[in-house]
Amino acid sequence: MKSERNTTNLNNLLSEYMRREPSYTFRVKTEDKRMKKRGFNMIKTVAVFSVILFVALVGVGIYSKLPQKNPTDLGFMITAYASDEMSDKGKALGYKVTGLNECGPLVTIEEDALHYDRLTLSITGENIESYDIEAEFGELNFFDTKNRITSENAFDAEVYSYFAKGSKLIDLPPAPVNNPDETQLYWYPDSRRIMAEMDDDQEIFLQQKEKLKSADDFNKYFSDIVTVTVRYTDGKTESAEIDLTFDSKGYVSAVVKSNSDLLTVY
Amino acid sequence: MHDVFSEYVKLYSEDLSRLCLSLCCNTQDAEDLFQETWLKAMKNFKRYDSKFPFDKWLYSICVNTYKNTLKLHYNKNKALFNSLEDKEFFMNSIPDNSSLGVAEYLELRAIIADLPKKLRTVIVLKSFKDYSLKDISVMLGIPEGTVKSRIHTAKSIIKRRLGE
Repeated sequence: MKSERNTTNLNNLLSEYMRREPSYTFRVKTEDKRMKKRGFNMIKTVAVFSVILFVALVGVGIYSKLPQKNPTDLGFMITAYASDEMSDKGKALGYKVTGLNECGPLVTIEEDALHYDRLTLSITGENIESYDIEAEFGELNFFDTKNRITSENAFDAEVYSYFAKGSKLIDLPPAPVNNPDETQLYWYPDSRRIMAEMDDDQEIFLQQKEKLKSADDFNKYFSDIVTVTVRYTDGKTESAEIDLTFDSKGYVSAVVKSNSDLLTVY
Repeated sequence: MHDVFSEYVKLYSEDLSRLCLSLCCNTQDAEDLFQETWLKAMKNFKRYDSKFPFDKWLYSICVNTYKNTLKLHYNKNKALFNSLEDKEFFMNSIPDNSSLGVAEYLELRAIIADLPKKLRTVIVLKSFKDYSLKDISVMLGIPEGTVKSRIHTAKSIIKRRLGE
């Protein structure tokens, strides 16, 4: 077919196509028919799994001889302290940035599209009432998993927790000091800036490779400034800015600045 | 609970069939996926909270089963119809004034079937029920930016191949 189609036409075509898919309505099979077929499928699955297991065991044998990194959670931690502690300039207080050296790249070019990974943030400390967080470009996702229903299905877990998303989230509770995993906060790199420059008539993968060659390129599209404002129980507030920048391989680093002049970056 | 689940099976089997066919592009694998999806839904049904839309819960089980399957022969059998009579019946049912005629339909189907699995999954979900990027990212457990990127890539490939 030689005719040109614009985006609106393509969306309409795809919708029409989905409506046109022959809607064979399959029927849920009875248990015995399903079990017979599952028996045969089970044999094939076990055979495939055995091969994979053998390859994996060989791989582990080789890998275990290589030098190992210490496992670390992805992301960095902002720990804010009570204001009276903050006033003591002799102490190494302030904001800690840890774990970034162990993070993989947050933006990678896969064979079909850009893949974005997320950075885990944690706001913990004593005497924190709540906090606001804002990203200039990226997206923030917050989960309060206190009431999460235990499930292996990630969809269930994400739907059933309190879930907030956006570039600015306000009045979030801090992670409890005794159980910091009770809340989870993620930052995702912005995808809009680079997508705005894609030419639909050219191969996307090649365009992305061309546009992401240097650290400057990555920062042009993905760098971000995240601002955290912490409110203490005594009514005082404190703000910190986290500068997120990238290298030419998509790895991120962070520099934290606060308004208290008490800053130690580890 | 059994009656409630049976009601859901009646209500959603047609759309689930449609989704499975779009993902697998052949009836044999689509039916396997259909059965696996309902089996998993049944096993996890006591965890389902009726405050949330059942369709998204069900279809997320479907696409994640499709995504994670170990079976290697999805899409190798390209028979979309069970018989020649079924095919002819379906083709004759498309009205002459439809924006998507028979030839265009078959062409679009071939293009979508040839897309890489990851791209086909997102474009099918987007076109199937016009789910938002957020919905698709939660259903597939991938970042929203990745969903957006893959939809963009899939549409570019489809547009380019339609124009060839």
